Amino acid sequence: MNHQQYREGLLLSLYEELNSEEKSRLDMHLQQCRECQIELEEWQKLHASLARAGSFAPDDALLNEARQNLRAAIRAERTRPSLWDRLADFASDYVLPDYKIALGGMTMLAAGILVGRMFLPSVQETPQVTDRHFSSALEGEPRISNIRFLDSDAQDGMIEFTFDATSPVHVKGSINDERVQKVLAHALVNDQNPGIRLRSVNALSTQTEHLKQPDREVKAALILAARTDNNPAVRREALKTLGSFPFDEEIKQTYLHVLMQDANPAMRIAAINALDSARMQSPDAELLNVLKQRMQSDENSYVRIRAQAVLEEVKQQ
Amino acid sequence: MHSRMINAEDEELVLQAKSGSITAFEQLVHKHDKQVLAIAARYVTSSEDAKDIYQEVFIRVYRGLKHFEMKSEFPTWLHRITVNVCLTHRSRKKNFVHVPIDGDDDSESETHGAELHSNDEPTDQHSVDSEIRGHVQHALESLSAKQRLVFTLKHFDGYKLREIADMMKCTEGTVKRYLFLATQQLRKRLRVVYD
Ligand SMILES: [Zn+2]
Repeated sequence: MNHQQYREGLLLSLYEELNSEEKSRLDMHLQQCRECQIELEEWQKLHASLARAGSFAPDDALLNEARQNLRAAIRAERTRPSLWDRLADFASDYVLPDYKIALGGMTMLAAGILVGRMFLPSVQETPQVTDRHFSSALEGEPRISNIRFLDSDAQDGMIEFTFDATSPVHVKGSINDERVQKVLAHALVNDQNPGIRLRSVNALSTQTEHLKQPDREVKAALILAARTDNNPAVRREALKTLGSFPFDEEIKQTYLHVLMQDANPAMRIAAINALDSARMQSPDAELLNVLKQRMQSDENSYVRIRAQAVLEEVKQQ
Repeated sequence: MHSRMINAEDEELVLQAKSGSITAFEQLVHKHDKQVLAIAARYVTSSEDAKDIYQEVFIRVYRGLKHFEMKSEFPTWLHRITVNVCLTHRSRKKNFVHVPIDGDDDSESETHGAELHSNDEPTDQHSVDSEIRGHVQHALESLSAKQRLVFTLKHFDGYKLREIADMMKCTEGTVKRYLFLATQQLRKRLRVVYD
């Protein structure tokens, strides 16, 4: 090894990429080469400063957000290819080239099954679980699926539903129960059926009225639904429910996102109204820009008028 | 840290996910996604970008699973996808100009971001020297995409050069070269911190 190779070896040795033989040759060279000693000190200084900058490791909150977003994206992904595409995909694997003729009938049949599942939820004869069983069903990271409401009117504070975790679970419980909220938040983000998502968000909105401590998971689910649910009724209910949470940056960003991105004018109006009633202490430039932009160029005249009114109001503060 | 044993559990989950089980897919994701997010979060400096990369990786996994024949291990395949997504990722930040992917050359590795590390919350907040952190982030941003990726995979994520070469589908020698260029550039940039 020449001097240059030893210089490179110094860095590799810090990263433990040298074998024992290379390492001992380097050590011997180091003892007699002043230049390489200085070089090693330089690398050590660099490593020390990097250590002081932290590990740049993501925290659990970021991981949870990333997972939530992914769930929504996968849900969109699953509904993305048409039924025809999926059947064609299936058929190309199993059926001879003239499969397209056969497919007509299959499509009808599959559509029939889907419609049936959408409108005739099978109410299971599963007995209600005890409190402890409910907890254990939600332990770890359960795969909650197939939620079905037996009673989703939460005015009396109680709702009743069944879902599948490791086994079928049937719950009648208080809407204030954290575990109930967890299942609802999950259904709001993950369920394929917009009717189920709507009933989940409705139940959650009743709950938030007598809320002690806003739950992070519920809030994240509502934000995600307000931003990305493809059903406008679900988006609107989620947005409305966020209004009963303490106003903060995340919620503000959600309102602004809806105001800028939602194609549905009723949603944009709801977002303006929500921003209006949030009574911000100090309206920032971002908010003012969005309002101004909407005032000038929203295609819906009522949105333009509302944006102007709110803009004038916040400017006077 | 990075087990290379044949993993029967992965294999089973992949098979189930391929046959359409969303539950198996999610289990597979939750088993391996921390590493993916860690790589992303260290490669980019904003958590928004890290989430974007995470999502793109697993959407590609989801779409690609039906063609995945398990000739390589699932984590290997996943890491290759992660590396590809990182290198082609375009930041959400307007001012951030990424250098071309093949810009291995030091001379073209400047970025022109004035607010590279201004707005984003650091992703971990334990007794970290925030001023130094800013310098380090800025210095990292000055590297070419490949240099930065090799450096963060090695220095922060602790992968072996051999593993990195495998993920990037290049030789170990090439990875070493990126690592040297990256660390030399960082030394130059961070001298202000430790002199
Ligand atoms: Zn020497």
